Amino acid sequence: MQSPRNQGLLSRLLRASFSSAQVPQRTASAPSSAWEDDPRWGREHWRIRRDAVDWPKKERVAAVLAIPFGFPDFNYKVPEGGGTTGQVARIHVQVYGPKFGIWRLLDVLDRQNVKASFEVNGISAAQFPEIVKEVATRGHEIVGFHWADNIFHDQQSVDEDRELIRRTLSAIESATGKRPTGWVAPNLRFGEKTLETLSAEGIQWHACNLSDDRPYVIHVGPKPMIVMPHADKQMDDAGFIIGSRRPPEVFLDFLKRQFRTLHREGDRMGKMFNFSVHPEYGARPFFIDAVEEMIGYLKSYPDVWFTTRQNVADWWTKQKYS
Amino acid sequence: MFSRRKFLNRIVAGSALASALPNLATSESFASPAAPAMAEETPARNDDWMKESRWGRENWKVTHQTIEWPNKARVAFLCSIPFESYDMGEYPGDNSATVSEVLYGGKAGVWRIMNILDRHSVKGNFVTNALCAVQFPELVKTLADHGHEIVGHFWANNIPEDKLSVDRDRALIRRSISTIEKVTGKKPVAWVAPGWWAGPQTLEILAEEGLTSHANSPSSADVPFAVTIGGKKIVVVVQETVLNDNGFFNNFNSPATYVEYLKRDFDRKYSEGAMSGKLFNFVLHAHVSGRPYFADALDEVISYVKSFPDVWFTTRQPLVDWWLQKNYR
Repeated sequence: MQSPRNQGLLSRLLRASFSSAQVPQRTASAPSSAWEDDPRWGREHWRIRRDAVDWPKKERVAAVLAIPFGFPDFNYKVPEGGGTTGQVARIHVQVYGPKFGIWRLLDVLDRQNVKASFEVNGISAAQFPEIVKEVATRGHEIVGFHWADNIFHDQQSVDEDRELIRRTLSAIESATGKRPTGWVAPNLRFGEKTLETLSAEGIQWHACNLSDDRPYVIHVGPKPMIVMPHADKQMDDAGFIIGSRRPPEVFLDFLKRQFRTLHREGDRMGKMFNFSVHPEYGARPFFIDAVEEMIGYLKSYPDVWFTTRQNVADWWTKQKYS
Repeated sequence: MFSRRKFLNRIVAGSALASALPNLATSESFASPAAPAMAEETPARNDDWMKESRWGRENWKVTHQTIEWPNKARVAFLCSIPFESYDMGEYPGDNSATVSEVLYGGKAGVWRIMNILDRHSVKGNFVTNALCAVQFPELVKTLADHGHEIVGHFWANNIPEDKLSVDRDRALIRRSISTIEKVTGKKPVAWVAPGWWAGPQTLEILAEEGLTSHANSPSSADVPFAVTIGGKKIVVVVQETVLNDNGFFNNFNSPATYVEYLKRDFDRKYSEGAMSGKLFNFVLHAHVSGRPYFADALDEVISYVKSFPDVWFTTRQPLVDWWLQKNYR
């Protein structure tokens, strides 16, 4: 067995981290008795929900393609270990997204006539407002993705976290004219009061969950928040490209296997399928055909709801699912 | 001339990205202990490492014994499913992403694996953190009621047992055993320490508490072996780390690649098993291999193994009982 603590970090690292994950120091004080009530990982996340979930037309699977439009902010924690080489590589590889990747993806999405869920950093919206506006104009969903993808909620003070969340929401709002109601956290990591802040700022759902094949509702204070599954690391292009240099077929194989199982199980209860494609990785010429093949594969099933997270959240609320 | 500097520069240039992502291949930096051990938690050290139960000489015995399984089976097939969770009160230090990822086991992964095993009438070894029995008591009871074995796996998977004081380790081990007993009505007889993080006294505590089997000898043998701990005979049910699911999927190898490795491993053991019985201990983390992408592959592996006549599908307790009864070393 590998060290259990490091499981599952890889894809989030690939996505977002050039700094090593900071592990908080263990405190000498007695363990807090409130961890079971913490909206990040408390009881509401363990409850097995048994309500039958039906999608709008009784589809077996709701499928969401997430496209993280991330960008680093070097005013924060610069990459450790990589030095100047790391910074140069980071910024230049990533800027491939707005320069080429996003445009190629937009063309594919238009040709396939599907809408995707773009996870947009505040700094991306501030630096490339016309691109973010174009994405929204073409009918894709814009999800808040914190200020920059090298900033993790749990490494900021509560006040700074709030300030960055507000800056992000405003930057996106100025670009698109619309304030996001959904959120994805870089590395999927929340800080101590992040969920409270997001809830107060009007965020109704987040997609940072890896513990289920369906959405569910938790409470942040008295307010409900819908929690949606995020793509597992094997459902994310980055690890196949940058981490391990696997052929695109291996990524496709994982995606199709994941989908087939959910589709089979979806005859009893609607399931949710997520996959992620980075504009700076999977949208490159050597990989994009696999992405388009997967979109076509999903569309070949009549009982698949290819949708956005906002649509899923709206449906969830309307149906009063738990 | 080829200098080391040039060589290093070339590596940096050739894989600028990889070098900018330190330790991607191993993620070692994230495996570092959650916190420096505090003074009162520093475990007692044994003077002679070769006498330690965790890795000392007793683990290196080279035994040439002929193993005979019940009904002259060639291979004993164990399906071990670590079912894990993180306790953020007992040992803070992880984050919402890791906690959430592991929680998948109790919400979906164990259910999916259990359904597949039940369909094949194969009993699994659910290597269960006792916290899971608190969070998912119905599920743990269902597993036991369906005839699957609950193997002890400490309290939670984020607690590095080797960093605990002996007293805290003992208290958590006792709490783990009694929690599982409360839910299933039965104490576990076998144990796997999370991450192989046994402290210097952990295996001794387990023996004192009446367990008869541990697995802290990852990938060391093709068969179980017996050791003496605290004067008691303990059967070490060797578990795979080399053929562990995480090693494949964290490196983005396809389920088909993993299945290929497993089939080759099984084939060779089956052929050698004609001379002396072998152990095939297949390790699937509920929050990893319980995900949808592995379901068909799991089905494929079990169907494959079932297509051979001389296989003993078993769980740990019958295997340990057999080992002791035959007085194998």
